Amino acid sequence: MTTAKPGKPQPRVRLFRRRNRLAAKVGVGGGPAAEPGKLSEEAFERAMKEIEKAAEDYPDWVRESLDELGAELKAAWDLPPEERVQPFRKIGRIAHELKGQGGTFGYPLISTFGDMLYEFTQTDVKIRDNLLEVAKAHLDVMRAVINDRVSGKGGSIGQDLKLSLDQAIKKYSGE
Amino acid sequence: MANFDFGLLSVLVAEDNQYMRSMLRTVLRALGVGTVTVASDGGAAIEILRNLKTNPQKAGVSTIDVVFSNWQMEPVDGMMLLKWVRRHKESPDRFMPFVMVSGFSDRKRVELARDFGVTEFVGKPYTINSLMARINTLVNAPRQYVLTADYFGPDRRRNRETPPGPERRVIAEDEIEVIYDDR
Repeated sequence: MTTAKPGKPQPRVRLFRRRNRLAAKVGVGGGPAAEPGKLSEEAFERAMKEIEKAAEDYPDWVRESLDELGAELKAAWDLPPEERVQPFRKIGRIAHELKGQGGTFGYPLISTFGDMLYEFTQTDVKIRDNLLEVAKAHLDVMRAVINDRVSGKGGSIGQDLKLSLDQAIKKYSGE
Repeated sequence: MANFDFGLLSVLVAEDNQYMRSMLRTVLRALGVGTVTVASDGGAAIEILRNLKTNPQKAGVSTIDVVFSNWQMEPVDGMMLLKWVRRHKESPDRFMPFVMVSGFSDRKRVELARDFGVTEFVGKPYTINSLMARINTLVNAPRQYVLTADYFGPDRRRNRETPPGPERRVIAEDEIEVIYDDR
């Protein structure tokens, strides 16, 4: 590996090797012989406590997202199938948000159902009533998770919710 | 091993969900990050970054060391923000560490972000452990930056080991130029 000289072919790859500015800034050196640093136990505990605090409020604020999802679903119902793309996309967006939240706050079932609904909305087919029924079934189980505060894997209640969702999907997908 | 002291660190968080934005800000503050600036989407983040050079008072902060961004945002998403940071002439630092925090965690999406120069990727839902693992890598294992005809960003090959399949990086020694080295 060399520095380019006159008459040499134009380099195809240029490299930039910068000093480790972040390490220097967070007080763990940054020079070539610097030891790696780590997060202190105290800082980790503080952050965990903040997540735990937020988890207590999560069921309250996630209801807003579920209500928004319900409103988009209603908007889709009120339109003919060929005009439902916009609200269905919005449903997908909200589902994706829900997927990204639940697990952080101790509600992994919200992440699971949110992910399932998101994947389900990634379709190009005409959005007929049966698709909206499936979306509604997802909304219903997510509401149940939050109303009953089904945290963690949810035990037998979680299993029942998954089962009822599977049955709804089969029923309305015509399987 | 010394403990990180994030007191001097300045982080920009771009997240359109107000609760998740507030959560990430609170977590970063709890980890000891000195300054956390927030933006409600990629466009607001670009405005802050643009003002860093020309009008720091308007930006509300004098420097940004790391960006944490959600991917799915409207009207300007995290990928547009990443592209702007890496490629735009008004970017205050094209080498800025950029962490994508996203529920788009399938391989295809992660590779897309990598090919646009993302530094680290945190899948949502995140945990403190997953967040910290990425911060550890940011600080302890920074990579050289690579500029080619179609890429600018951290070296996409993290490890020096021999690849499992055939070597795809076929390039002569004199086709590589070290532009900058202050390590």
